Amino acid sequence: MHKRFVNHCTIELTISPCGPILIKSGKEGADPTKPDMEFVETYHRGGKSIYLPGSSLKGAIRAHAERIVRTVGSDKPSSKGVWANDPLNDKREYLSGKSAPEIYKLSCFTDQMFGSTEIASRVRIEDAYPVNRAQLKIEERNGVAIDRVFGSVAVGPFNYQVCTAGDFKTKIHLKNFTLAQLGLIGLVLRDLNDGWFGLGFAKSRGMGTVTVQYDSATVQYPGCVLENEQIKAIAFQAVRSTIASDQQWSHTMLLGAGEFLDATEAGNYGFPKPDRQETPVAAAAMPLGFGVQLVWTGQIQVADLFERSVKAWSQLLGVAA
Amino acid sequence: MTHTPRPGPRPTGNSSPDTLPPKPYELIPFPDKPLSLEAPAGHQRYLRDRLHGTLQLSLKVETAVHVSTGVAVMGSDINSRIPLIKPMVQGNDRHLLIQGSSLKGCVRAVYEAITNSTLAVITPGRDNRDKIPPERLPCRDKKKLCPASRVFGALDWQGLVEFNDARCEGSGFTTGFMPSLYRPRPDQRRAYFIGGRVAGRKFYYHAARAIDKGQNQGIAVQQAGKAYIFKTQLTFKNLTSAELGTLLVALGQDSKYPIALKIGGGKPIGMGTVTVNVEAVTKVDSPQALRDRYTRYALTESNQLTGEQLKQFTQQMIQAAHQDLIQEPQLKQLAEVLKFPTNRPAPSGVY
Repeated sequence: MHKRFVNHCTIELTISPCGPILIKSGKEGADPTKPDMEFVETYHRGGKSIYLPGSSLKGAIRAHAERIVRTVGSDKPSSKGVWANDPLNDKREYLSGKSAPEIYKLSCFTDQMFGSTEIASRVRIEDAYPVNRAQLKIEERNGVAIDRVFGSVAVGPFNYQVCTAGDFKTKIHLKNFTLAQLGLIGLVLRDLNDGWFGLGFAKSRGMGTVTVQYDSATVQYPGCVLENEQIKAIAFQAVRSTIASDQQWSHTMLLGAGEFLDATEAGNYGFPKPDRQETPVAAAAMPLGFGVQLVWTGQIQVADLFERSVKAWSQLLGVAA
Repeated sequence: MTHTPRPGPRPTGNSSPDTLPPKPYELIPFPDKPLSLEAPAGHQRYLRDRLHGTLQLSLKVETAVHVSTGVAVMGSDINSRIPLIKPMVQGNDRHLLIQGSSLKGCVRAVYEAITNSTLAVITPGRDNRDKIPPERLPCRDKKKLCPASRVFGALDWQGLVEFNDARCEGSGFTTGFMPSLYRPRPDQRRAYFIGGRVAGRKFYYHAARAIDKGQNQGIAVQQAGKAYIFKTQLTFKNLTSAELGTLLVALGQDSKYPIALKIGGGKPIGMGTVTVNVEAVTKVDSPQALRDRYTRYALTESNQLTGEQLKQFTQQMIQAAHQDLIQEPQLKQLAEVLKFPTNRPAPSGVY
């Protein structure tokens, strides 16, 4: 569902390498003093700097999200539970000629979140830029392949650039999300921090592990207002039929997309309803007095948000939280 | 670059081989069974009947270890009085590191030798290719992989184990003076070949003590001295018990075959001996454990094994490895070469 905007979540996080990391630029520059494999670079805040492209982050995050879904769910369409397809080889014939809600409903859990050739992604990941370029430690490493028979150099030495210290800040946005989707992002980020998967080049030989520090999470309900400690959906005459005007929730409620739709429309898309979790955070009005937002600050609060959304994820799998 | 003293003149093929000490290495022949090639487990999911987790390793230096960065620096750059020195990789806190790639290469070489596997790395060139038995050429088809390639990776296939850099516990280092080493001479030494084909995989013996030439006579190298401890972590997914067991045997955990790793430079002169201790294993190995892990955010229960439990688990895995993957004749021969402790002296002169 992209036609309307019901809820939105922004997670701000800091990624720091635990050891060496390298996202290769893929091209060898003309500068002969540089190593054979260089880090991707861009211009940021008035200077040239290495960065972690959003596409590299999204690829790794999506791949792990799929891995989790296939592990606890299935890799084939199933009426019960969640499934994840093979996004590169799935022809998606089951979606041809279908309406928008049906396409969403019939897509697998990860296509629904990260997009496919049939439906746009509702997860956006920004490039991660260094907080302070001066704190980045960039060095050069060498590798050499040893011939197993003669013990001599078979290939190399080849050299590559690595980053071993620094903080990279990025944001993950989720639009019109369900709580289970937010929960899955939480599990993926937890595993990234635990070293269950890495980023970039040479993950199997000492590179790519990072730590993830949560800075904040903001959940916004742009179509709501705050009244007497209640979140109320604004009902315009024109859309009265689709937004349940009488809906209101406690101001400490974390709400998934299904909550803002009437039962029929939620059913068309397959959004779970009810899809809510109580949180210790209270809602506040958004700037300009329009819309409501909840803000979680710091590692502990954001982890608590994920813990609550993972409950919705496990309910979806039929596991009592 | 550093001043590199030339190695002394080396006797050529004309001189009697009896005058030379025995070679500090051995070639471990390939198994004579046909290879069983299979499709790898894949990364797309955590399989319910396989093992996933991490090994916490502690590496103890037995003879000086030098894993070179590939460059020489002024001694003043690393707080050494030597004018020019070949450094090791150091972390941001100046602690010595053994690169994950060095460790992986070293463990993979052993894993390849004790299973019925192909050669992962060969020197490019037609002449060289022709000397390798065709079935031992590196795996090219990612749907048909040999045992080692299934675990460590091959062309177009990312392996199932992930090594990390090993970090030295202390912040110090020692300085060694390596003699110049001789290059391999497959052109002169016939033992490398049997019937025109390469005879096997080369492994260097461990020695009781490494040769150190002393200042002015050797190449100055930054090294990790005896008894230095390095710590690292190895992550694995979708391994069978036999595969994890073979990995543990390669790390020297089979009490019947106590082997040590040989890593970095100066292998012929006794350097690079490292013994491994597995301190803990964290494993996720059942459908229920996987389900628990992926339906809860906070991981409360730890599946970490230490002490007696770890010992039993290691035994089980190694037993499975012996039944399934390990080639006993190759392991026996390799264990003879890599056994540690040893009384074997390193060759002090020409070898």
